[in-house]
Amino acid sequence: MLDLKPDSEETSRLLERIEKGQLDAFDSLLARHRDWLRRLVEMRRDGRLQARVDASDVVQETQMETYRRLDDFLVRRPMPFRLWLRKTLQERLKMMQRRHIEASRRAVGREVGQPDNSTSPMWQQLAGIDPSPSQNFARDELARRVRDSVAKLEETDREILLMRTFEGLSYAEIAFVLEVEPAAARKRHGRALLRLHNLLTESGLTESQL
Amino acid sequence: MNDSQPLDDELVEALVAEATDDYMDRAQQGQEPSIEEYVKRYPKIAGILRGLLPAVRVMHRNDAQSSGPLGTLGEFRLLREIGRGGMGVVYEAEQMSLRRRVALKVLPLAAALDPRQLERFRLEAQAAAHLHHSNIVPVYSVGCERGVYYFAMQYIEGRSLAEVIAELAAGKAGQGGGRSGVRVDANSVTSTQVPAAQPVPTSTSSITEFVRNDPSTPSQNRKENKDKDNKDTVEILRGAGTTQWSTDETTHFRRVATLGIQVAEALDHAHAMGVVHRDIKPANLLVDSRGTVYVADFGLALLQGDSGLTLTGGLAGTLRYMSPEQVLSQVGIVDHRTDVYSLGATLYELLVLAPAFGATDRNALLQQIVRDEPIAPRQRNRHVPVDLETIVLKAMAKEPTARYASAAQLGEDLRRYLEHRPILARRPTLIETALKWSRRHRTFVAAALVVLLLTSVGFAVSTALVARAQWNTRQAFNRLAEEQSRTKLAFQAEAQQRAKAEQSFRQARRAVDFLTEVSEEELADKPELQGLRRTLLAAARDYYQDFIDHSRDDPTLQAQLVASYVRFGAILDEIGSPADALAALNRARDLQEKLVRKDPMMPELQAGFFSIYSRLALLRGGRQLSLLVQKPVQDDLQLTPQQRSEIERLDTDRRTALASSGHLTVEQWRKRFEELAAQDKSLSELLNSSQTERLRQIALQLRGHDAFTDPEVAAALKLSPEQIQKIRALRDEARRSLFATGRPGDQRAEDWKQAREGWRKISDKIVGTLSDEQRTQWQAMTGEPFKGKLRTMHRGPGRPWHGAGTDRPDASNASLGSVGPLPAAATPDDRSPQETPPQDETLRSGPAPTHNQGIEQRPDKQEKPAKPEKSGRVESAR
Repeated sequence: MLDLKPDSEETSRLLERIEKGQLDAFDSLLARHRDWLRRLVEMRRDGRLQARVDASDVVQETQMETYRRLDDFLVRRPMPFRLWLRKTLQERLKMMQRRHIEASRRAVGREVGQPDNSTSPMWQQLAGIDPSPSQNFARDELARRVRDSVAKLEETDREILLMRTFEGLSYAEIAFVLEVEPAAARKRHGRALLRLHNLLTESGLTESQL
Repeated sequence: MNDSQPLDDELVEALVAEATDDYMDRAQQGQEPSIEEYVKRYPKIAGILRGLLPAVRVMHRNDAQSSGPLGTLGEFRLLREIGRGGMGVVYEAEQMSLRRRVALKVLPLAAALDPRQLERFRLEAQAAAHLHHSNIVPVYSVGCERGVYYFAMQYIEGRSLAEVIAELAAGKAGQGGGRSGVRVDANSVTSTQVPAAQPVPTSTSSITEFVRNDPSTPSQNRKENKDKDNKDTVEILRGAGTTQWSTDETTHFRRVATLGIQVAEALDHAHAMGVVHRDIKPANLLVDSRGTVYVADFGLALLQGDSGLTLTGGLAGTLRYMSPEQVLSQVGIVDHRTDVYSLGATLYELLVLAPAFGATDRNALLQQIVRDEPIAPRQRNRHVPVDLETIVLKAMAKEPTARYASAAQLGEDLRRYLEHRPILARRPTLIETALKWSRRHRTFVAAALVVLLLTSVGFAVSTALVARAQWNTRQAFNRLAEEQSRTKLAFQAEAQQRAKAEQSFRQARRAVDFLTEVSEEELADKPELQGLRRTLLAAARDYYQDFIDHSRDDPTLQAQLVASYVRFGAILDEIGSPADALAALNRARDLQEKLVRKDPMMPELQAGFFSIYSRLALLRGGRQLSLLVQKPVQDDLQLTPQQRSEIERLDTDRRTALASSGHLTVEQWRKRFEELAAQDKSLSELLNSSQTERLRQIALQLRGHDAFTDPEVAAALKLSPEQIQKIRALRDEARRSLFATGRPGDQRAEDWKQAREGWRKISDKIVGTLSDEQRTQWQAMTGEPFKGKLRTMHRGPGRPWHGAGTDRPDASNASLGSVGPLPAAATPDDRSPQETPPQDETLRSGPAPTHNQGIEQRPDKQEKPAKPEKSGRVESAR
């Protein structure tokens, strides 16, 4: 078996309770993961899909989908719950994006991510709580550039970067979500990092500025 | 790595990945790895790493914020994260200027909310910040810092009742459900059941599972938490260390009452300040180590908006404690009594350590909340005191009016229980129970019971009215006699008398409202019970008339007066006096406008408007229109395609106008009335004169022999008083024989059939009593028999006072069959033309000499013999 981090005791306990038919456990389970799911979506809001897809919609759809397929999951237990949830989210997100793109025949695919502070709670959060006011500006600036560069990446690059760097998934876990070999996941990550570096350089971010 | 050869891309990729992975792993462990170190270790890719690693750190840091120093927000220094909810994160923080510890609720996602929502939140939060009560978590300040909304509350060293309940329940379960006193160690329970209550800083795998280094708690609703004193809190609930909860249930129950009083008082204070909590539930009630309860999160429920009812809002978490009106999203009628309900539901759960409604499926839960009475606590635990059960069930009544009128009254009753004084809440009387029951079991037995009840209620009504009148007189008399020596005793006696009269008055009022509802809704689709229904409605009409006469000038009764006018109008309409009905409703509207001008924010008033409005809509063009949209009628009238499409358009317009609601001003309501009137006009212009005439004929045919009781018809036929009396007698006789037959379906089915035949023949008989001249006139009025099959929907007047929003088409009566799919017209807003034509009567409603041809009897093969045979002319959609 791949090196997958098992679900936490709490999650396992909740899953057990759900198996016994206690709905409030499912509730707690979702509650535990809601913010995390939301963040996962928020991260992706800075890319080309922009605010076209509403984070809470994705989270809600994911939760409903989870609810629908929970029985099946409990029977098969193909992977840790956390990963399964992650996977479900990814699928929903893809589907919703596709739906949006199809709905509006506007060429979303070619739109470049716009830096838009008002619709980017993640970065606000990042900028909003900071130990040293003097560092605020520099970090804001860096954050802005990083965000812009991440937004310019190809979707597959951005995705793996977010998973590894932002979410801190292991390669085994990424491999599971993307349905590839862990080694390939690792390679892709390295490639994505390089591309990010190139973009950062293009944007004028030099070492001296750090 | 020290190789000076240029590296190929693949290798660079691998190295970059390796270096970055290592860097992140260390950062994750809380180290601050230096970039220089990596630059040295990977010289070949030094340039890349210099640019990349800071970026990686920025990305990575976002998750790792809560490790290490959290930073500041405004004048608050964040110490640690103590909880996460759907909307925000709660930190323990220090307010630097005052050096005090606070709980800081931060809404980082506030930017995702729409501005209107935010504004509402801000207003509400500010209102909440003005609440000062020893049982409300004090809100120190509300603010917005760089797009992050926050508010600072007192830091409560305690835990939520949700946790306490979970723990007590676990302890109870641990004892095999018994009540014997095996003591459960609070710590062991804590560690297995509520792991988050563990000291936080050490990041265990369970805590960092998703959000690295994020000591968020799994408990969704925990607003306050702390890592010590949990044991104390449980002890408090258990019995302050001296008595264990599990060994002394009495102590537990008294403790629950004590908690309830505190919360009720807090709520009452908030309500007095105009703040409704809307989300009272165990998770929002915090208990500190001294056993004091604090209500948290005032005003936050608004933020959940509609999502409170969706999965995101916390399916069971919040929904379980929501009042029926909240669950039904009855805009405008959710008021402070929703908190009374939720507190009731919370106390219920505290009493029996199980939720009042335990459905595990969302829809089932909704159903339970709206429809089911909670299982009596004493059925779950026979040790629950009767009084507490009574109090809790009263607080949880489905109808807000049946609950305690205020949180203070709930608190007062709990206090009475504690002090061993008689509580004020009454257990539901036999009548109320019977009515609830009959509402659910639409049987003849129930209907018969209602008749019996009516007799007694009628008595009560008149008694109450008399008492009231007497009181008025006495008051006047007393005022005169005030100067004379009036003893204190006499004064008290009078006050008591008055309270008693008032109370029975209110009770009677409720009973009649309920009766009207029963007769309007439950009996509407029982053709054989139409007589009974009319009797009930007539009695209710008299009651409302009396009420109106008595309360017209009483300023305290104006709102009820409006309601009475609406019901009165509805009933008049129902029993065939549309002109009087219109007058009553117009009167209601005028009064209503006056009231709204005085107090625009009273939510009931909006609902009232809506019911008046829908009723008026029906009285005006609506009825005609609902006839006209039906194809058989259109065919009969030989409408042109243009006319048909025009009618469809009008129908759509009408539906649209009726569908939307929300908070409207008097002027907006006026405008709607006008639109409605304009519609009538275009409707009357649409048809040519012969079509209009024919439509009238069809409508009259559909009314059956009821038409003869209509004053207008009586006038047109020039019925003599003797004839009118004769007609009434004929109807009464048929009705009696129908009832004397008893329940259909048993051996007496034959009798039943006969009686029903008798019922049907009334029209013939009535027409038989007419003079030749009158008969000719009647035939002219009704025209050729209408041959089409219509769907009829017995849309009773609904429940006028609670607004049309609660009305629902009842399509459950599938046994009437043969209608095909329910027509689209069966929406809640639709008021069909034949409000209540009893089908059997309708059959015979055609011109007497010819009516027989139209009837095709269908053998009564239904498994429910209670249903009369259906015949061809009119089918019912319900």
